Amino acid sequence: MNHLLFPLMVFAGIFVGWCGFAPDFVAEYSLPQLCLYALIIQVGLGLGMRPDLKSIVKNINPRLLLLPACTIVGTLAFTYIATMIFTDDSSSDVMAIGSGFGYYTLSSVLIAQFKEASVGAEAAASVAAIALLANVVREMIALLSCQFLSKRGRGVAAISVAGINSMDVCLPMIVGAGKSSDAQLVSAALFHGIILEISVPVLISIFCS
Amino acid sequence: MLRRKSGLGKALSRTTPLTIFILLFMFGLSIGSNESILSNIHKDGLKAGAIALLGVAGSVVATSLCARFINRKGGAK
Repeated sequence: MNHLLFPLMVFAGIFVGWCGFAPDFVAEYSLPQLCLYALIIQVGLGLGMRPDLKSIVKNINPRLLLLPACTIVGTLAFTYIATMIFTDDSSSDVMAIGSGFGYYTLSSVLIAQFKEASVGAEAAASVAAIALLANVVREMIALLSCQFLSKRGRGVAAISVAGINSMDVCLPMIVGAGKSSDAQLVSAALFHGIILEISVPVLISIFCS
Repeated sequence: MLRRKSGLGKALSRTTPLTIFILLFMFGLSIGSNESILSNIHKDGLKAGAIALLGVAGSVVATSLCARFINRKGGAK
């Protein structure tokens, strides 16, 4: 339900802005920035408060790190192909867009903030808009393919495709397929999501600097 | 310790999506009030789709190469 409302909010905002009702304080970026800080604090609190945090931590072993590493390396390697196709854009912008891993809310806002200082608000918003679209599309692909992959014993691939969404939106589809290794898959999916959540701001700040 | 205070958890489960709603709405506002973005949306949409598809393909390829390693190395379940 919520994941349908999120893109809807963007379209509502676009429509209201298109009608010319955008108040000035939005353009100043102070309010969006405060909102972003509020969101990051809440996400952090939410992670720390998970009742299953202990068992997730217990299940963590070095082997699990391989999965988010595969997602990051695989995504970035193939995104590099995109930099060769879209030669008009700076390759670091395309890499920053690719390193959202489906986290369209945070990645687009971060790109808008990081790029604003160097290229101006308009160019930054344009890159951020592509980041938003690209990562919304990735979440949609994940929503449509996770169950299919997981049912065929490709749970690990399903987690990787889901990107950041392996820990929330796509989790029920990854583990709902009724395989015997479900419990281990939950830990892998949550750990994968958490590591990617940390890596998104790090990678975007690297590519945007 | 915070985990036991379910009141905060309940509040968070409501305020977190609300914060994202506000953030996304303001993000939409900045796109919608910017004509140069709107006029490029068909071109940008194609670019976005290509980057998303390549990202997914890369993830599948990388995990397929490492899947045996990820599944086997730990031994016992």
